[in-house]
Amino acid sequence: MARLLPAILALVLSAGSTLFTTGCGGGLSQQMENQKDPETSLIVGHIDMKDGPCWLHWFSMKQVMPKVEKPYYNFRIDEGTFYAEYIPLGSFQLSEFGGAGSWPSNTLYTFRFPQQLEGLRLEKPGIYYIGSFKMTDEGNFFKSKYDIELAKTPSEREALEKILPHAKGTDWEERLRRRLEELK
Amino acid sequence: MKRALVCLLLVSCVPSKRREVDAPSDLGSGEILLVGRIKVTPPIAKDEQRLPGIAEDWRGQVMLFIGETAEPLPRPFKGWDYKNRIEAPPDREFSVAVPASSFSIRGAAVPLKLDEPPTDEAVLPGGFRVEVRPGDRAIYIGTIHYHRDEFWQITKVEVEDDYDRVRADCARRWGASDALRKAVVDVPVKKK
Repeated sequence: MARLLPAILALVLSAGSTLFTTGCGGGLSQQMENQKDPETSLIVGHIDMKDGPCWLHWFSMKQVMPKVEKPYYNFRIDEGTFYAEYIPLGSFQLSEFGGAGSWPSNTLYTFRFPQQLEGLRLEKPGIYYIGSFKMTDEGNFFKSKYDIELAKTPSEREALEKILPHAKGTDWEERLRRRLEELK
Repeated sequence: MKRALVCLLLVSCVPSKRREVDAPSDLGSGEILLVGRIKVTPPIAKDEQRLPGIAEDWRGQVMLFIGETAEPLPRPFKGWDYKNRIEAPPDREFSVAVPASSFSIRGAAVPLKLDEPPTDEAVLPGGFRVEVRPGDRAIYIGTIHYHRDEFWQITKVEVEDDYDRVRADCARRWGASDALRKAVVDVPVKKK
């Protein structure tokens, strides 16, 4: 697994509800599903957005190798934890994440990772925890300057425990339990 | 629409590039001709660049930046940082006029996303020093060859010497009156 470095994020602001709908990745539910392809992996991570302008509402990754017609993968979200159990083998880069500002704001905040950033090479199927990140604001009173940095919490164990209920009734449930046993 | 206009403004405001010249006879006073090449392996794929129509000429090109010192290129990269760029085509040597004094190659940039703000670039490392001698009219610095992975991480940098081929080509175009001096740069030593 490649090392992931904190990125210099690019912030895109937009307004309106149409973009929010598309930005959510088509309204993915939190419930995982069994996959027909046995070569798929479950990717999990967490972003603490407490110091950001919004909560995490969407997260996506882009497949860069092999080249495919639809390279973007949207993730399921549960309070800062993002996860997707349908990621095929290949090389992936973190693409973007964001959320809608709190009511009554209608601003959508999208943070883009630069393309020149270390990514993930999935060479065999499995459960991969890509880490915990924390959003930071190093700006001032007049202008925010957001970035993310690595965080110590939640741990892999805590993140997997959080998504375990969403794997209920699927093959992932047992695989997650086995991984949690290893982490004890 | 608004984003497209902002992008159009951004690209149209990009400062000018270094003057491309074919021969030393086209140089102004206090200038020399700089000849070299930038190669990227694997090459820049079409789907890695999102460029507006106005910047389509930049597709596949690497922007090279020189300066008095080897100050690294900024991140994030802004439109005005393209000032005095050398546009290096993927399939041949560049040939530009530069001031007749020693300089450093600060680095290079590959524009990856210019179709809407914020822009995104891959930055390639520099640190090469080019010594210009009194009496130089044209110098050849070699082919700076960047090897990279699918995440635009640079895995190796090497300098290739194609002087004999380039000199023969220049002699054919310029005649024998102006000599192209070989000044192939060294790969900077990586700081530990």
